[in-house]
Amino acid sequence: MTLLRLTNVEAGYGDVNIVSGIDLDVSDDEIVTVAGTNGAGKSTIVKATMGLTPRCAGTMTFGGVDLRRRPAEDRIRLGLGYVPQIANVFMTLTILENLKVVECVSDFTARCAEMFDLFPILATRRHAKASALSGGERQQLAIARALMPRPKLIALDEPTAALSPALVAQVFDIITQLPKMGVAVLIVEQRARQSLAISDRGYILDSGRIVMNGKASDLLADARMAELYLGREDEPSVDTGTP
Amino acid sequence: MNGSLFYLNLVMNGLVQGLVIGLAALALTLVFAVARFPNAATGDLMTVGAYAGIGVQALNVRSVIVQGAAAILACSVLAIGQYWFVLRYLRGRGLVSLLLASIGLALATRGALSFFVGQDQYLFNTPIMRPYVIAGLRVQVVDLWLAVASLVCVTATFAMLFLTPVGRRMRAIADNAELARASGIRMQRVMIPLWAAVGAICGVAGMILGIKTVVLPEAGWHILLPAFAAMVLGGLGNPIGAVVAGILLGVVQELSTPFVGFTYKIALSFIVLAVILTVRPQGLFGSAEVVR
Amino acid sequence: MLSYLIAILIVTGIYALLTQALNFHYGFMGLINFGHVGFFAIGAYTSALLTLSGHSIALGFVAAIVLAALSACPLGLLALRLREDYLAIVTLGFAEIVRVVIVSEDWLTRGTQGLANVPRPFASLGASGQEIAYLGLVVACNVLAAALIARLAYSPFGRLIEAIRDDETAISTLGKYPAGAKLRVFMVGAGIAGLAGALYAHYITYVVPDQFVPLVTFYVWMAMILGGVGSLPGSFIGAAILVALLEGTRFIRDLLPGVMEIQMASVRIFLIGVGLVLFVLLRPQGVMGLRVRT
Ligand SMILES: Nc1ncnc2c1ncn2[C@@H]1O[C@H](COP(=O)(O)OP(=O)(O)OP(=O)(O)O)[C@@H](O)[C@H]1O
Ligand SMILES: [Mg+2]
Repeated sequence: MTLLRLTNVEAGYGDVNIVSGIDLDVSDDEIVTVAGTNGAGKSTIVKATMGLTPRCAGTMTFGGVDLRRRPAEDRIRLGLGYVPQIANVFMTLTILENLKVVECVSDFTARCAEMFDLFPILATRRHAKASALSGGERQQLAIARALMPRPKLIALDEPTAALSPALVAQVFDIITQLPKMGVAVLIVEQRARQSLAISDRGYILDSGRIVMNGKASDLLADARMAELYLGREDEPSVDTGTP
Repeated sequence: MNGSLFYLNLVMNGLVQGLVIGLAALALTLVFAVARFPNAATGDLMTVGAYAGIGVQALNVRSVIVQGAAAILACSVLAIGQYWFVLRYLRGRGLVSLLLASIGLALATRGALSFFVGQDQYLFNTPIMRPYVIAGLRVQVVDLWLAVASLVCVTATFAMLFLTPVGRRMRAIADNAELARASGIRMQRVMIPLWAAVGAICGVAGMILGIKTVVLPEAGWHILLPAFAAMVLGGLGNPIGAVVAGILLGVVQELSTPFVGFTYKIALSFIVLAVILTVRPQGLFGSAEVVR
Repeated sequence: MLSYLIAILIVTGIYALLTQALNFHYGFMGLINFGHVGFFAIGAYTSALLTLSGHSIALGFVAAIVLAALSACPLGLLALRLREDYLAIVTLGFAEIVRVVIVSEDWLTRGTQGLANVPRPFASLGASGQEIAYLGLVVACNVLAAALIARLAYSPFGRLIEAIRDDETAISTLGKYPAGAKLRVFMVGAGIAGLAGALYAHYITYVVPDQFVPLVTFYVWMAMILGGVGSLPGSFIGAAILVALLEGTRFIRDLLPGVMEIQMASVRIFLIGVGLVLFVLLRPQGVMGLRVRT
């Protein structure tokens, strides 16, 4: 069943649209990748979905609810989780505070314990400031924070940027588990090959427009698209599965 | 010997002055960290607090606690009113709009106040008590109580910031407003407590200012500039830094009076500010324990 | 009646000059200057002091411009290193320092007493001729300032300014270092404000510290917002509306018969405050005329 649906969405920051004519949907058990070059507007699409762009037009529904009528701070209540590309944790708060500050968490203690199971490193450092975490640990905290209110869909903006290959594998591993927990995933990735490998479907964005979309396996097999957007195949890449 | 005593007594005076500046800077910093603008209405809010205390005194209530409570109440109500009727609508409109609006609020407050109370000066009738003399250093009893009051005020503010859910939300907004929104934190639920706290701090600061000096419609406005300086020196958004910098500025101002005279006191905090910013653009305590 | 009109026009012209200068700072460059009255005061006192000690009015004007511009130099250098929110506070403090110096150094400025008998030019033209000639001078100064600003704003230098405003880091990585441009803008604007100060001193013919309170800065900001941030013709419209409003508050006196003279000052301040709040709330396009940098 379709959970998130964007129809003819345009969004931007000033007078001009950064993205336009965006049709995109995510079903409730899917992983969907949005790929594209730097500055294509990937983050802008995700921000628009979260209600964080100053300009936004078009139709957006989430679970049948018109998103455009909900301010950003209410979208979490509908079940939308978000991990921004940068500044994705509260640096000056402790790990525990980062989790506590999230609204509409029904049973904090239980949920917190679940998160600590999923990300054991966070449990051991729960009283440390987020600024004291390593990049990978911070990324885990960001995902944990977004998962706290049991969202129906989580939007991850480049969750593996600046991570070591081993950590990238670990993060992708966690992402593949999410649909089983009832969380649909919209993922923006530079590592498009790896991301598509764990995805059901994908969208390719160029200069603010969707130029291609389809099943992830088809996109990966498409030679033209591979050449243009996915980088060379012999690029050093990491096994996404567990060793 | 006598010389150093003279300066020690100046330091004592400066500490109390510094408490006022420090509290004002704390109020400024809370607003700056969470709502992102230098609130020029802070000084006049303090003035309102002092007059509220005077008003209660005029009703023949002698208790400073009751007077202070009235000051806190009056300032909190006014601060929340300023937020609710004006500043709320300017969210996301940038620094200049908010700064100008707060200047307008400051002028409107001062104009309305002085219309009713006139330009006469008022005094708090604090009981005269013999100062403690410790090795020649005179410590006024009132000063001790004022110091205790400020300490309670600062402690309460930090307890709110670091021990309560609403304080945690405030720090989250100060840290990363966009992420705070995405985490479901509703601005208004945080802003009302924030402005109430700002009002309470201004009420206490106004009372201390009134008790230590005289109550005049311009009294608070004159504290605003040193308080701005203290906020910047404290690292812009760092509440601990703001309080410490405020106290330091108070002491420096007082110590400099024998050399530069009374009128240069206001100017002094800005010269200190300019000098320190030239050396350390991030302020004295910048980036150390920053809330934002 | 005519002389009242001329007087109003002269005051409007002086405010227009101040507004142009502020617009150059903020509207064109994004420099948040809350110490405008400081430059105005330096210009007024410089020219008053020089002419009172026997120098020519022309020299007084030139010195007023130069000194005001020079006083902006250390401030500008500091501003280059600071974030924009710091600049608002630092400039506010600067203007207060200028006023405190004027109050304190009474060997030079005669403190709170101020300087009286500042000479007015064109004395040979008779009473009304003198007023008209002075208005001409004010208009000429405005035209010159507008021409200078327009020249700077629409020259390659102006395009550099715009580029800096839009993206400071990009320009500095391109190698065109924005610091010099920012400093120049700051100094030119300050010089124009200094000129306004000299015009004011020689028109009113006396200067006292109370004329140079922060309120004046806020007036100019109001004028700029009213006219539209970044719009040069707007500077004139804004100044005209401002003076009309300020003059208008005189007539409120008649509407409030029970109010004493001393309370009128409070009423005025209150109305100005409310006005400022309303303009910011209701005329956002003024404030947002410039792309506000975050
Ligand atoms: N806050 C903003 N204000 C103005 N323009 C912005 C803002 N954020 C992004 N842009 C512009 O929007 C365009 C698209 O940016 P976006 O962040 O969506 O790209 P992206 O596809 O996520 O790129 P990357 O792979 O580098 O993250 C860029 O040209 C950028 O300059
Ligand atoms: Mg991006």
